[in-house]
Amino acid sequence: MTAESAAIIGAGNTKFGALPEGPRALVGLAVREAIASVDRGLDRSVIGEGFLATLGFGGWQIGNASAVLAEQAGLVGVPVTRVENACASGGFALRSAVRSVEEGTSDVVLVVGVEKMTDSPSARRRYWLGVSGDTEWERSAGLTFAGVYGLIASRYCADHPRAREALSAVAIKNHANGALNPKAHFRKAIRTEDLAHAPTIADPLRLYDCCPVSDGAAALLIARGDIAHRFTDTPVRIRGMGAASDTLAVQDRPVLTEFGATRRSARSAFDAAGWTAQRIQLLEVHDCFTIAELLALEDLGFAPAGGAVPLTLSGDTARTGRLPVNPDGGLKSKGHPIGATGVSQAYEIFHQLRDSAGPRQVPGAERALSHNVGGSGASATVTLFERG
Amino acid sequence: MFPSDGIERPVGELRLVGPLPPVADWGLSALLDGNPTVSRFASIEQAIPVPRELDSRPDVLVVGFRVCPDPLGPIAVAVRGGPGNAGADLVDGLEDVLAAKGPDVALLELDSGGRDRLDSQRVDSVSEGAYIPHARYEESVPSRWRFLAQRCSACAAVTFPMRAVCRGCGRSERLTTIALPREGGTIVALTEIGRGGQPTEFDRYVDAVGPYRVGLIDLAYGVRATLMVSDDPGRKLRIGGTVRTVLRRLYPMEGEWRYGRKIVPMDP
Ligand SMILES: [Zn+2]
Repeated sequence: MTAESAAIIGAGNTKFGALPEGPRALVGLAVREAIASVDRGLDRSVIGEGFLATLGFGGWQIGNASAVLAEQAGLVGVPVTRVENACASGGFALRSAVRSVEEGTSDVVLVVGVEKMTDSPSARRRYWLGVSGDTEWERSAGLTFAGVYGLIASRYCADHPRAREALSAVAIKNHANGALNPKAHFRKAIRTEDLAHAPTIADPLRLYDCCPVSDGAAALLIARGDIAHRFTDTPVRIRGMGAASDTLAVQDRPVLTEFGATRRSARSAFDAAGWTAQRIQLLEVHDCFTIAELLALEDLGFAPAGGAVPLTLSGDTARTGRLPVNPDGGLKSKGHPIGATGVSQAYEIFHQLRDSAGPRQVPGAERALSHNVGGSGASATVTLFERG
Repeated sequence: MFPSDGIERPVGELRLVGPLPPVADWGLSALLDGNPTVSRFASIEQAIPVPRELDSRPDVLVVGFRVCPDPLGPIAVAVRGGPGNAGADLVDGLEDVLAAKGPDVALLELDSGGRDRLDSQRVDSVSEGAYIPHARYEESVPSRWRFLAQRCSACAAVTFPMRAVCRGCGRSERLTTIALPREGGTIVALTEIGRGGQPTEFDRYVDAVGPYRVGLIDLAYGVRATLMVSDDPGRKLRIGGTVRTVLRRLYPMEGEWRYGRKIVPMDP
């Protein structure tokens, strides 16, 4: 792509956590912050289309949820579409928005992700946490997401020495980052001792290996590349995007510890940008479980099989390390409101590449990658960003 | 395949006369109290509800059952034979019998751990579980119960569970049905689901039996299956271990118990 690449010109993100607001209010909050963040202001009439990413957790407005976005954003009349690919809904909605402005039909497109998860009773919550895996076969074996990732982690730990240590290091690192993020669900550093005594969720994964159940919303304004400078001097360009699918059930995959959808998405994104992994200075990866961050580093091309263990244990992926990963705390500490996550990753990169990330700022980062996974790898997106 | 006419219910009893014979001797003649016409399902001290799938089949006959000394082991076995098979004297080696009789024979082994408590609870007609209608379940029975898969003569891939297209090449016109081996699988990955982490369908199982494990096993022909572990109270199974699979009760939905295969150690 060229300097004309589509660009983020504004971004908003509610606090993540157990919030009093419902999904409608969360959408409204994120949209208002995104519009207010546009440096030279933005008249809503330039927004030609909207995409809403949400799983609809708890059964909230499964049909026509996109109309809620139109209402909350003051866009009634504009076409809006709900995008659903489980936890990768946000990444796929961003992709739809970029394609929409690239088509030239809209100058600016609004993409919002939202999930309201904490107001469902426990049984309903566990139901919804299992709806995006293979419901006919994996679920009938007694697995929810944690269980599938537990299976994957068991194999990874059997294959690679010190892997369990690296899982803990991911949790400790991401909690340390989240402690600096005012919008994170958990703003508390944790220690090795906390991890060791935590209850087992899906062996070898313990409580601190798992992301929380969170409420939250995030919003992005994507402008056509050639007009981005009308809105801001510092847009964040989208230089490459990749998206891919994989089998729903992990039993249908030849290698348990690789996500083919991530690998294919990364290849497409790097090809589109003409970049190699070496050019990336900051990563937002999908760490729904600590094992997922290790897999991501390998699938995205930053380490060979098993190489994520030494990469993590060396401190390279710390916020102050050679290759900062999840400086906002990741899903693990910032929280994982399912539909909002992929959008929120881009929100973090928007601020990191504009030097406005506050105390968690990674100095001098110019190029970043976001990686969003649906469920246990059935879908994924990879997006490459550059200061623009 | 099977009529859907309501919830499972007891339809008959087999009464044991005298002390329990040695396990190896258990068979029809020892259990039927001299009455070979007693059909359907039974237990030693109380009637065990018949799975609906068997209940409505006049050609279903229970020909034997066994008790496993392992508290989580199988306690009851129902083998479908026809009236003409009433003399079949089966206790062990039931999988072989199944194989010999072909795909029309079903075998059920119910988990014993907490069985009474499980059975005493009402089977909810509405579940918080992922909704799989009876018709979808029924459609999956050949793969779930009998481990049937499809081999593609276009690309040689084997697809399990059976579905409309080959998972190797996406074609549908060159699939033939084969049976996967029920013994000799290898554990590729193994997890234990912490209490409270189970899908809601398994709440009752966890209340009755406790936390369970789930394994991913390599079967044959490049086929893998994700299945719950059973009959391993000492938790001796490990990654790399060899296993076999047995048919067991999975979870209740829509007023019926759903059944499928589970992993058990090869050598109990
Ligand atoms: Zn084929």
